[in-house]
Amino acid sequence: MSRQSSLCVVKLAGELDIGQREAVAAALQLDDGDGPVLVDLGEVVYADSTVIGQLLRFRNEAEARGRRIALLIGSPQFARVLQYAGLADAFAVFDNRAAALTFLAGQRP
Amino acid sequence: MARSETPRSSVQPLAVTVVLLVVMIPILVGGGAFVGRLVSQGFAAESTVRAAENDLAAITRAQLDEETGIRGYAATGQRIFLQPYDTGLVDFAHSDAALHRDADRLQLADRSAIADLEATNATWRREVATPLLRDPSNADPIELRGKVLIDHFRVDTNQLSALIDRRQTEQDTQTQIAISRINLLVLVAVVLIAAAAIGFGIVQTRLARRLEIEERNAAELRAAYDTEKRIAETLQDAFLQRPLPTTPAVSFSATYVPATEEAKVGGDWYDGVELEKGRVMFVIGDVAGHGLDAAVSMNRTRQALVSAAVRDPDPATLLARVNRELVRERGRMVTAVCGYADSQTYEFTYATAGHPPPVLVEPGRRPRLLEFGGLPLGVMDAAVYRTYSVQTLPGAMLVLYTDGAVEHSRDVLLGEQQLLDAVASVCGGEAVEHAAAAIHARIFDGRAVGDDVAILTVTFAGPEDVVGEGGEGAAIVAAGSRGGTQTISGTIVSLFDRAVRRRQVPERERAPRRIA
Repeated sequence: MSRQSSLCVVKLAGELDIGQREAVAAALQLDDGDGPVLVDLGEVVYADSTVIGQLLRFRNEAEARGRRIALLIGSPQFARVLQYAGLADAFAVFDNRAAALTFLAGQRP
Repeated sequence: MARSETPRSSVQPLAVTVVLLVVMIPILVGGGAFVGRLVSQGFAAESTVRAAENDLAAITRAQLDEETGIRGYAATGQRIFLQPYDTGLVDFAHSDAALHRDADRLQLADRSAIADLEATNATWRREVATPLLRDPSNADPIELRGKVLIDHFRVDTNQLSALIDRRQTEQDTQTQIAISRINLLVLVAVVLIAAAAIGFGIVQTRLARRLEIEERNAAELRAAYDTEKRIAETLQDAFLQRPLPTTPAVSFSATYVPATEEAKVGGDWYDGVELEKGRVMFVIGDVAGHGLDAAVSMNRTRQALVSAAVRDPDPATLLARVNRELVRERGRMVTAVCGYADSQTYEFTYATAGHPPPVLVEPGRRPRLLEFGGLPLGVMDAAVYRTYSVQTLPGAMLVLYTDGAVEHSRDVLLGEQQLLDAVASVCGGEAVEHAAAAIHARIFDGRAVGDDVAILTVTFAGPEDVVGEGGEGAAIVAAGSRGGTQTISGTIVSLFDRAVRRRQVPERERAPRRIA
């Protein structure tokens, strides 16, 4: 049951600041399964500290349920913002989808 | 109290008022029309009665004309005298028909009086007129009979007249009753409408009062919001205005520029604390969010960091401790850089938590971004922080800033480049005391700032200050003569060299330690 669980994909796009907090909170929802989680931020160009905080809490939630989670990012600027926030320490961060999926499909640590 | 009233309770009297008006207005209008019709009917009935009386008089005249003609003929024997009789016959027939029409109009159920009249006339013609026309000579006994019949006719006429009069009185009474009923209805309607108007007025007044209360509540809310904003601003001002220490060996400069678009109070702060043996502690941080909560949260984090620093000299341990405290208290997310500057070793020791990297600029070199890492404080209990050390030179300046300094264009890579350029252009000429403000000015060049920006610089005394070697007076004099550093750059370089040789560990970053 657990091994066959399908991937949960959460996608955000655009410039994310405190004005999009509600929308981001609505998007950052885990499904009922226990499969891996891919947070697709490939089309995000900016995120302020509010959204960073939301991402971190989402990660904590996923971890608490024992779900593997990965971030997919596109813009180097956004990658830098994530680096500021120390998210490279908390997330597996990828700049291409295939690598992220390979990571998520791997054995649980 | 006004809040507990539901809108329903005020709508109901209003609805009743509207219904009353809707019902009463037709009654008033219709009642007026009905009264008008009754009055005009009354007039019509009166004219009918008058016509009936006229017709009654006419039929009497016709009967008398007939009699006059017969008696003239009987007295003279000449047919010429019969003319009134002929006219009377015709008039009688007309008047009789008219009387029947009047009776119809008056709705007289009892026509016996008219029948009597006709019967008397018929008897008179049969028993008086016909015999006398046949034989006018033997008139007397017949004329006597005629007199009796005429008298009878008059009695009949009077009966009919009384009947008509009674009918008129009846009709008048009916009209009077109808009019008085309508008047009563109209009176009731007027009273109800007046009551409705009063009720409506009361509802209106109540609504107006509640509106007033709500407006006052809104105004109070606004006032409360303004107060909070003012308190937050005052708090932050108080925090930021806490003077940075001035020591001979290490000098601080700082600037804080709030966002210009929205007058929101951010959670940016910085601190500088003088410790023993030529060491200072420095902190810059940013509490997520705005307003009073953020200001209070910022102050708490700030106190925690400074008080922990007294016990714990290792920046990473210090951040980890404050992080656990924040997670336990479910405080806001905070990003920060904290560390120490040791003026005896020219070493910066620091740790970062979710914060953009510090910038280091040493005399004669390009500014560069230092290492950094670690999650923001307050999001994960088990977050790990690292202590970084960087060995520098006299005159080296560490620039700490909040994210507004690089994220203003939302292209942080460009923002970093602009920051490095600004630092490079400032460290050449500006007085150290104004370095932070000058860097801000270079980056933003008077443009509107969308986010709060705080900048803190920590600068080791330059070589010309070191020459004074501990003499506090000499250091102050030297600091006062700053601003001409470029003109004595040669001297600086030679003094650098000496300092470098003396320390023997120039420019080498110590390998970062990992603190669990």
